[in-house]
Amino acid sequence: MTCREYTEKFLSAHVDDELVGRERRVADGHVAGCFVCRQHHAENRRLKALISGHLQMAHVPAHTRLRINSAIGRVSESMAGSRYPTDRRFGYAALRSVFASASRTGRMPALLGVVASMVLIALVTTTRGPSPIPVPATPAFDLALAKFDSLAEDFVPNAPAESENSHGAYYAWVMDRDRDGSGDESTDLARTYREAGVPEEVFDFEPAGYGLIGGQVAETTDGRPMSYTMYRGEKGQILSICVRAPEMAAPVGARYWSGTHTFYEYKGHSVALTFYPEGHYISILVAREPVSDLLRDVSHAENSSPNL
Amino acid sequence: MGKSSSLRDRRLRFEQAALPHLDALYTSALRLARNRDDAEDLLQDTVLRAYRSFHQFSPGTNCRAWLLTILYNHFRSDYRRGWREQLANTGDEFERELEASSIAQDEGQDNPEQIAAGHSTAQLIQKALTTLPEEFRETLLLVDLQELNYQEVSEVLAIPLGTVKSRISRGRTMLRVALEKLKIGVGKTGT
Repeated sequence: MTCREYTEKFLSAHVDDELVGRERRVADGHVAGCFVCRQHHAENRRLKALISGHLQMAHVPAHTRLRINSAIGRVSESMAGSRYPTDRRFGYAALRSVFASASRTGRMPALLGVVASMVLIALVTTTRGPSPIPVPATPAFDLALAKFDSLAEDFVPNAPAESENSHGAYYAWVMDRDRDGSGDESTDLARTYREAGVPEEVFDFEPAGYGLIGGQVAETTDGRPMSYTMYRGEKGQILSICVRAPEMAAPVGARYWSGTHTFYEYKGHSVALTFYPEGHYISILVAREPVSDLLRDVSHAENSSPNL
Repeated sequence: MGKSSSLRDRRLRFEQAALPHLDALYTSALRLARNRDDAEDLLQDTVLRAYRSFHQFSPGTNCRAWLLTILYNHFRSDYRRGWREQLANTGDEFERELEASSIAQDEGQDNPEQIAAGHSTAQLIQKALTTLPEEFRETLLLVDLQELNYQEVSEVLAIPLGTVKSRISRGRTMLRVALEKLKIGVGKTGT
């Protein structure tokens, strides 16, 4: 093998470990005995290392991951719903025959009533969708559930508590509230969070029967700001936790998706996970009510709350 | 019951096999689409196509290569024409954005002179790469960044294996020259 032959035909493939068998042995042998080609080989390896060592993959934004996850869920459901093409064709033919017969015998009104009932039952059952994949153990959810239980009876807002709200509990507020006179407890709390650098996530769960109890601004052990917001009502409580978690990815097994929220049934609780792209924050809502109720409450609150 | 369980199993297997490669797909999608919104759409379309045809994936083969093949095919067949028309306007802007984006890892200290001038090694490599013709750049990145082998690159780009080899060889030569112009040396051998 000549140097020119090596450089033109084998060098790159040699560097990329693409040579096998005889070609590999010949190339190794040539490089071992040729100083110049050995230099070329080393230079190309450094060039390769320069790219792999200094360039890295772009990161998919959290909201896009969530969107894709949600889209996969929809495709899954549509695949589940279109599994029996032959049965459906048979059903159509059979129905057409039944309708023709009912039309002839004058029993059409009764038949329409039966069909309407069947459609209603079908709608109720199909919107529940297939059973989800089990949610794997998720440390962030476990921590949120533990906090949910520990704060159930012992939640004290740590921002200045000035007055009692309509639920007989103190809420967090900010010092300039009385100056502009325009705030209410939820907007005050949102402002407190903004000043602390955490998402201004405050839901209006009043229509769902949960009153805002207040907020805590805290820090993780490594100094990241975070917040707890507590809502309480006759049905129990909803705890919202916001924390910076750039490494967090949505676990599989979601039950529902709505907007940027993903809903899970996890260890006897309902959990809503939300990603805030700005600052890589996540929010975890925890409640004891059925996950479909939490979905409905969050959707209603989101439509009515000025802070979201 | 059986079919529902089979669908759950399919989704679980898909998520385990494909989702770890989402960043890799997005990186290529960004380079193809040249703006973030289109790249995100291309990424989502690719993932959904892959999910629908997951039964065609052979376990034990390179899932990243399979996904990238779907992404490139989709881009070539459905997106390229429309997006090409945007390139004249958005190309320079996008290259600047790429230089500043997370694709360039800002940790290089190989060239104190350039670092002092405000350029990281990663940015300089990015800059050097942009001087390469597109076909050479994308072939090189599929090998060196996406870590595909030549056969996989051949399938992703739908080009003969020999073309992959020659593009890699010539691409590296061009990249070395471009880096030397930017004072990033990779060794002197006097080719």
